[in-house]
Amino acid sequence: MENRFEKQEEEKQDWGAYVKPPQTSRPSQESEASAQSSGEQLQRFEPRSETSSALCDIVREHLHALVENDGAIRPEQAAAMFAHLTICRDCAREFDELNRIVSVLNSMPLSPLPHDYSGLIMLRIEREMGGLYPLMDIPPNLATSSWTGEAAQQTSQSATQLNNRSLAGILSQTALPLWSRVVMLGAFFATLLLFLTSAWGRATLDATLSTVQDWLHQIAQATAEIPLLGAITAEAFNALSQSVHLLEETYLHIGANAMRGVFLDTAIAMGVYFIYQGRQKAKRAG
Amino acid sequence: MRTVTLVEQSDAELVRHTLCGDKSAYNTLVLRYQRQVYNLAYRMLGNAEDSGDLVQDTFIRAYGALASFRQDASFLTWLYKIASNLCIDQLRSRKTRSALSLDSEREEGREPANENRCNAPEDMAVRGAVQEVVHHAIQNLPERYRQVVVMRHLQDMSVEEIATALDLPTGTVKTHLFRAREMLRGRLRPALEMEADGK
Repeated sequence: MENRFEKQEEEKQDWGAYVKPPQTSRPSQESEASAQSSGEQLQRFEPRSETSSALCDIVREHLHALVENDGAIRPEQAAAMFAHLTICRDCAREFDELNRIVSVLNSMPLSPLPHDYSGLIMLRIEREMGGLYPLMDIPPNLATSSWTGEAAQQTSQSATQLNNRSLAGILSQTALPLWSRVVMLGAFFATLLLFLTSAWGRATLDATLSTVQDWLHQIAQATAEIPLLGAITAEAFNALSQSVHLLEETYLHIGANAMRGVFLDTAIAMGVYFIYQGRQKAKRAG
Repeated sequence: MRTVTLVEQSDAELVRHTLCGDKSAYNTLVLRYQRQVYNLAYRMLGNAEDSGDLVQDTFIRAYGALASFRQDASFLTWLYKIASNLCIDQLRSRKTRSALSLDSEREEGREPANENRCNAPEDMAVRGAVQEVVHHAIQNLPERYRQVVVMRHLQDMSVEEIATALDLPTGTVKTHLFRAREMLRGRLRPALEMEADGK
C-alpha cells in the first residue's frame, strides 16, 4: 500500500516518540498575541496548491490520532503531519483546538461526594442479600494464593483469623457442612459394622470374630492421635470392639434378611439425602 | 502484635474476604471507589440525586455478582461496567418518559431545537464557569459518546480499559472518542475563545 506521507519524505525528522512538534515552527496555543505571530509565519509559508488541499484532508483525517498520541501513527507519519501543520494555518488551528479540548477535559476535577453512601449500601446489602456469603462452593484457600511479601503475610494472617474465628469459618473451608459429614460418617460405620459382623462379610474377608475385634481396636488406637474428635472416636471404636460379640448375637437373633433390610433402608436414605443436597446446591448456584 | 488494616489490602484480597463472608471488606471497597462511581454517574446523568441512587445500585448489584468477578481483572473497571450499564438503562427510561426525544435527535447528528435550555455557553464563559460549560456540553453528547469521553478524560481510563468496561472493540472506542471530541470542539469553541480572550 502506498504511503500517503511519502510526499513529505524530505521533511522527515526523527523525534522518537512524537510527543511535541518543534516549538519554533508551530503556532502557539498560549496567547492571542503569539497566535497572531504564528499566523503571520504560517501565512508567509503556506503553499497554495491542490496538492496541499488533498494533503489537508489526509492530515485532518488523522489529527485525532495525532492528539491521542498512543502510537497508532508511526513516528515518520507524525513527522510529516507536523511538517504540514507548520505551513497550513487551517490544519494547525484545528489541531490546536483539539489539543485545547483535550486539555480542558483532562483538567475537569472530580466532583466531591455529597454523602458517604457506604452505610446505606451496607444496610441495603444486609437487608436484601444478607445471607449470600460465604458461598459454600468457594473455599478461601488463602494460604496458597500468589501474594508475596509482607502484605501477603499480613493478608494470610488476617484471612486465617477470619476463617478460624468461628465455627462457620471452619465449616466454610470444606464443601459440606458438619451435619452432612456426621451423617456420612455414621452411614459408613453402619455399613462397615454390618459387613464385618455378618457371616457373609467375615467369610468374604476370611476373618474371625477376634480379628474383627483386633481391627477395631487398631482403628481406635490410630484415631486417638487425631486432635479434637480423635479421643471421642477412639472411645467409640473401643466400645464397638467390645461389643462385636453382642452385635454377632444380635445378627444371629434377628436374622440375615432383617439386617439386609436395614442395610437397604440406609442406602435409600443416603440416596435421597444426596439428591436433596444436590438440588439445594443447584438452587443456590442458580 | 501487628495490627492489620483492610486499607492496605488489594482489591482482589478484599473481594476474597467478602466472598468468605466478611462484610467489612466490602465496605472498604465501597469507601475506596464510591467517589469514582459517583463521578461517572454524575457526568453521565447530570444530577446529584440520580447519581447517588446509581452509586448504591451499582455496589449492591456488584455485591450480588461478586462470585462471578474474575479476580485477575480490575475491580474498578468491573464496577464501571456495571455503573455504565445502569446509567444507560436510566437514560433510556428517561428517553421513554420524554415526549420530545431530544436524545434521538442527537443520535442522528442533529442539534436539538432547544439547545439553549441551559444557560448559553457564552454567558457561562463570561462568568468564568468554563467547567460548567464543559459539563453541559458533555451532557448534550449522545450517550455512547458521552460514556467514552467521561471514562477517558474524567475517569482517566485507557482506551483498552474502556473497551473492556463497555464490551466494545478498541477501534470503536477510539471512533466514539474522536467523534465526541469533534462535537465538543464545535460546541465549546465560543467558550474557549472567550476564555482565551480573558487571559
